[in-house]
Amino acid sequence: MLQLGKNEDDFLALYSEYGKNIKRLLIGMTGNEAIADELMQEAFTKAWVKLPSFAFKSSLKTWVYQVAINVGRDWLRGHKNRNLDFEENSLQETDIDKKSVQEALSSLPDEMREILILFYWEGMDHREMARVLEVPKGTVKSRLFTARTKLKEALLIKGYEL
Amino acid sequence: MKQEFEKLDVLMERTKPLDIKTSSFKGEIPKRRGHLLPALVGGFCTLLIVFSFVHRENQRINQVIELSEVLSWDFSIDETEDFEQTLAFLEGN
Repeated sequence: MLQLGKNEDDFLALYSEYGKNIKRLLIGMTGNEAIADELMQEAFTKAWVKLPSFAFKSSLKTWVYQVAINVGRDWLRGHKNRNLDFEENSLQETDIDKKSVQEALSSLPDEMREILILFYWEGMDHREMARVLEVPKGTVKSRLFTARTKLKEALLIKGYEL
Repeated sequence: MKQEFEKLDVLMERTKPLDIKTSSFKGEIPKRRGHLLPALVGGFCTLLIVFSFVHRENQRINQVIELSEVLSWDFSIDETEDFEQTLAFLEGN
């Protein structure tokens, strides 16, 4: 487990431990790699500054995700009329399936996309997702079910046989 | 439910972005102040307790002096070993 003190090396350890995951999460949320990069820096800065208030009720990983989710949500709130375009701005996938999945994800409401990313991309279980999203486990289960159903529908429209 | 999403789960697993590149942290690493606020509050409370204790003792000493003056006692506070006892005695008179 990552042990943290107060110096720069500890901050960089936190950044290198969770940087990739947080960036992937923020790409999923915003659909844009450059924005995800910016938000990732903001998320780590906030997590670092707020670390003394981290009460060890959850794991450090959950805490960092929680901060990043909130940073992502703030950005989404300020850009309500945005157009998520994974194709142009994000991972520049050449894989047709990856493109289709990203397009399908971008067509879903923020809340659904969020939970699908945590479940599929970050491999979290219901308990972890409940902690990160700060909602009861039952809410996670029902939200995930709805989100998976909607994602499946979006992919069916694209011609996938699921 | 598992069967319902089986194919979707496989597709999602296969298309999970793995090649995420992170750049080094740009900008200044923020200074963390640690537990500054709790320390300040704690210090303030300690001072308040010490001050109220000193204030209360002062009041009692003044009370002893006032009473000794009223009763025209030749009384030196420095010689008093037990304020409680003296105060009780003076109040009794």
